[in-house]
Amino acid sequence: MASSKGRVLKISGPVALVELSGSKIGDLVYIGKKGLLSEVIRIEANQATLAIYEDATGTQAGDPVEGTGAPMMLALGPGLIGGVYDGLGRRLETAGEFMSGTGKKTLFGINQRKKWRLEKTKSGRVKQGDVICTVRETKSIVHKIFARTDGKVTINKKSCSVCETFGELVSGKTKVSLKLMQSWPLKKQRPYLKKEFPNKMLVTGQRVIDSLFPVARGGVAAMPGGFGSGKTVLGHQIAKHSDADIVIYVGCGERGNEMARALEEFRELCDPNTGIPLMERSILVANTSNMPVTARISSIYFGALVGEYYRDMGYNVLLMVDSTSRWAEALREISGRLEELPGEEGYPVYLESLIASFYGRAGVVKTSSNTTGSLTIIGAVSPSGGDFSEPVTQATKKSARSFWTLNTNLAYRRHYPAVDWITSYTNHLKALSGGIDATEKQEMLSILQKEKDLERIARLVGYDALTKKDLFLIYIARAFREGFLQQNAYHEIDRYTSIKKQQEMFQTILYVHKLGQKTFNKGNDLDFSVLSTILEKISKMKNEKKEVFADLRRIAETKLGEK
Amino acid sequence: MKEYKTLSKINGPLLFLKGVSGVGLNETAEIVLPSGEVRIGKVLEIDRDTSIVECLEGTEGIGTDARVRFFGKPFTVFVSKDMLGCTFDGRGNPIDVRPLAEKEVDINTPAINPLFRASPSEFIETGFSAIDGLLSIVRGQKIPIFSDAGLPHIKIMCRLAENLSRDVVVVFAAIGLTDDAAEYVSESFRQSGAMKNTVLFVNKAEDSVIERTITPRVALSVAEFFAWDCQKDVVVLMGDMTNYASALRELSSAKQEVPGRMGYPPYLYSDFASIYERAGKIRNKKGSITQLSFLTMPDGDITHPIPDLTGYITEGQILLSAELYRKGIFPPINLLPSLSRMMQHGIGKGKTREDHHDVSNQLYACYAEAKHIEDLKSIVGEDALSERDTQYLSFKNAFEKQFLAHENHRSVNETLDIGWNMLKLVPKTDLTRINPAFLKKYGA
Repeated sequence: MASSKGRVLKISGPVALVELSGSKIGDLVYIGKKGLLSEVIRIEANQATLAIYEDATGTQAGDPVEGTGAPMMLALGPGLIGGVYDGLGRRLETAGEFMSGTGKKTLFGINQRKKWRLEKTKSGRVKQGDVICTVRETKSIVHKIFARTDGKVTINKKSCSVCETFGELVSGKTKVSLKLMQSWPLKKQRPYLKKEFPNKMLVTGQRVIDSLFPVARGGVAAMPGGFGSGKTVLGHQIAKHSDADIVIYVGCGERGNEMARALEEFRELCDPNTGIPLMERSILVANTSNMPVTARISSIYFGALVGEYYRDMGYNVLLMVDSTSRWAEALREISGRLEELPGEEGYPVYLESLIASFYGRAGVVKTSSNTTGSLTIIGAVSPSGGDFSEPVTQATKKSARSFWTLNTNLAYRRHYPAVDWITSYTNHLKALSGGIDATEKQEMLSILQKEKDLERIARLVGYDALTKKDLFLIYIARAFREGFLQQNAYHEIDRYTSIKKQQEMFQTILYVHKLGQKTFNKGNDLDFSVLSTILEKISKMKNEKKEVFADLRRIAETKLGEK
Repeated sequence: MKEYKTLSKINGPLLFLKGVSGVGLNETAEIVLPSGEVRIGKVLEIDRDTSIVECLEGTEGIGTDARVRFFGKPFTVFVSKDMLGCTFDGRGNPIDVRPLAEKEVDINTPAINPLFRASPSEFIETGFSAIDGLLSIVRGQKIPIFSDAGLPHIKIMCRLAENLSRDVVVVFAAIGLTDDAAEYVSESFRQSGAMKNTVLFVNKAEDSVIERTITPRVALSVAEFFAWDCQKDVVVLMGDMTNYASALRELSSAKQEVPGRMGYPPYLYSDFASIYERAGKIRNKKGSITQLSFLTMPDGDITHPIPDLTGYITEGQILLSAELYRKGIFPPINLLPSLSRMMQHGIGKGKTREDHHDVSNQLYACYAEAKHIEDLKSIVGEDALSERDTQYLSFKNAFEKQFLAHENHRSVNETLDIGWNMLKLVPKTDLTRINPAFLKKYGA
C-alpha cells in the first residue's frame, strides 16, 4: 500500500484531474492542503480523475495530492449501532454545527476508546467461521467476532477497545493478531456461501403492506411516489416498526428538517416488538440534499456494507434507502462532469446495472460462518414529475419483488399511506409464511376493484340508481379503505398493528361481507343503518387497544344475519 | 492580491485567463477595464495554469486588455444589524444608504449538520386564513408558492412581508423581477411600514444572469447573520425561482456542460438544495430561518423540472389557482393539492388552539366533498342534487368567499372561528373528524 504524491492539474466543482502515478480505480486520495477525501474514478497514463467527497472551495492548481494506494476503508466493529453517520461513515457528532470539509482527520465511525467485555471466548483449535468471542453491543444485539482461518486461538484479554489486540490466531506459520475491528473497502460486497429462497415475511406493522403487499425477509421492495405522496413518512414508519433485528436507515439527499425529526423520533421511540429503545437496533445515515454529492453516492454503499456485516452474524437486517433517485441523480451529476455519453434523461448508461447490483445485495444467505442471515432492501424512488416511466423507477422495478406505488391523488384525499392498491403488487416466487391468506386477499382486492367500477357508474347515474347489493359492496369497500388501509402514522395505537390484529380486522370485515351476501342471496333486504354502525365500530378498532372482534362478529351475526 | 493581464479568450460570461497560479476554486475576482470600470467575477474552473472566471456583470466591453485581480477568498458580503430598512442590489451593494459593516461573510455556507438541527415546531402567523388555518407553517420550515404568470404572487409576497414583519426579521430577495414588479415591491414595503424590519435585495430582469444566481445566496447569508449571530427569527421571502433556474441553465450552457432535463444542468437539484436547505433551526440557538419562496410554473405545469425538483426539497407546497383568481378570490390558494409537511408539529394545544387539528381536517374533508359534488353537478345537473348536496355547495361558496378570501390580517383565533362558522353550513352528522368535546365548546 505505497502512498504516492502528485499535484492538482484541473478542478471544476466536485471533479478534479490530478497528476498521480500508480493509482488504481477506487483508490482513496487526499487532495488539497486540507487533505479532502476523494476517489479515483478514471485513469489516463499518469493522470487520474478524482471525485471529491467534500466541498472543494479554495482548492488550487498545483495543490498537493496524496494517493493512499488503497480504496476507502471502513472500520467495522462493535459500536456501529446507535450511531448517526454521514455518507462516508463518519459519525456526525464528531463534526460541528456546520459541515465544512474535515479532510483526513476523521475516517473512523466507531468509538475507539470504549472498552468492550469479551464474552463466550473460545481458545484453542478453531475452524474458519467459528465464533471466537462475542461482545454485547446493545441490549438486543450480540456482536460476534469470527475466525477468518482455521488455526489455534489464544485470548489474553478480558476486555478491550476496538483497536487493541486481544489475542492471536496461529495458522501454520502465520500469526494474526485478533482485534474486535476490521477494515473493509467501502464499495466491496461481503462474501457468503450461498443464497436461499426468501420465504418469511418481514412484518412492518403497516396494514396495507403486511396484508396486501408483503415484503420478504431478504427481499427487495420499491416505493415510488411523487412528492407529497408520503414516501418519507411511510419509510420512517417501516424503519421504526418492522420486526427486523437491525434497521439501517439511509437518508440519501433528503430534507434536513425531516432528518432532524427522524433523529428525534428514533431517540424517543421503542421497538414495538421488544420494548427496547429504537436506537439500540438502528443505524442512521444522514446525507441531506445540500451535503456533497459524491458522499451521497457512497451513503447507500455504506448502508449496504454495514447491513451485510450484521447479516453475517445471523441477523435479519433491513436497509431502508430514502431516496434512491437522489443517488441516481448524483451519479448523473458526476457522469455529466466527466462528459460521459448520456443515456436516457441524461442518466449514465450504466445506471441500470448499478441499480441491479445494488438490489442484488439483498437476500437470505447462508453466511461464511454457516449461519443464516438476511438483508432486506426497501428503496424509495422519487420519479421526476411523478411519472413512473422514468429510468430509475423502471430499472428498480426489475429488481423489486414488492412494488408499492404511492399515489399522489390518494394523498390529496388524505388517504395515508397512499399505497395504490390497484397498481401495487407483490410477486414473491415462493409464498411467504405468516400473512393474510391468499384467497382472502384476492377477495378483498376484487371488492376494491369492483368499487372503483361502481363509483364510475354512480358518478354518471347517481347512487340512487345502484342496486342494494352494489351499495352494500361500496359500504364494505369503504370500510376496508377507511377502517383498514388508512393508517395514521401519528396516532399512538394506529401507527403499528400486529399481524394478529391485522388478520382479525381483515377477517371481521370479510365476515360482514359474507353475512350480507348470504342475506341478499336469500332474497332478503339489509338494514343499512345497522350495517353502517357495525362497520363504523370495526373501523374504529384500529385506534383501540382493547380488541373485541369476536363481539363485533357476534353483533353482526345477530343483527345482519336474521333479516 | 494577485493581478493578471493574460486574458486569452472570452466566451459568453466566461473569461479564460492564462499563466495563473495560486488561485483557488470559487475565489472572487475583479475585472478592471482600461476605462477604470471594475466588474466582479468568480473562479469557476482551474485547468493547470488557466483559470476560468465567471463575470458577474456581463462581458460586454471587455477585451483582452482587461486586467483581472484575485483576492484569495470566495465571494463575500458585508452584513450588519443596520441593514434593516435598507435596499441592496442583487449582489448586496447598497442602493440607498450604506450601512456600517459588522462582519464579512461567505455567501456559500457549509451545510447544517443534521444532527445539530432542531426539528421545527413553533407556529408562525402569516395572517392569511388559508395558510394559518389549513397549511400552517412553522419556524424553520421552507415552503414555496407554486404560481403561474398572471397570478398575484407578488402581491401575496408583499402582504406576507407586511404581516410577518410585525414579529420577525424579513429578508426579501427579488430575483429577476421586471422593473414595475420591483417598483411595486419597494413601494408596497414603504407604504405598509414593513420596510423598517426588512432587508430588501433586488435583482431585476435586466441585471446579469450571474448576479441572479448570487442574489438568493447573498440574502440567505444576511438571514443567517440575523438568525445565528443575532438570534432572531427570520423569514426569507424570495422569488421568482424560475428566473433563478433559467439563469443557471444559461450559465451551464455557456460552460458547455452536458445538459440534463429540458436543458437544465444535471446538478439543478443539488443547486436548489444548497439554497433551500439553508432554512432551519439549530439546537442551542435561538434564531430560525423560515423560507417562503415563489416560482412561476412554466405553462402552469407542476411536473416541469423546476416545481418538481423544488417540491422534492421543500416541506410542502402552496398552489395558486387561476380559476379562483378569476372568481375574484384573493389569495387564490388551491387547497387540495397544497400541503404543509410540518403543520402537525406546530399546531394544537399550547401552540395555536386545541381544536386546530380537527377543524383543519374537517374543513379539508368538507371542501373536498363539496368539490366532488360540484363535479357531479356538472354531469347530472342541478335538479338531481339532494338537499345535502346543495348544503355542501353553499358551504363551498361561503368557504371560498369568507374563509379563503380576505384582505385584512387575521389572527389564527379569528381564522378558526370563521372556520367553525363555515362548518355550521354542513350537516352536523358529517362532522366526523371533530372531537365531540370541541363541537360542544366551539360549534354551538
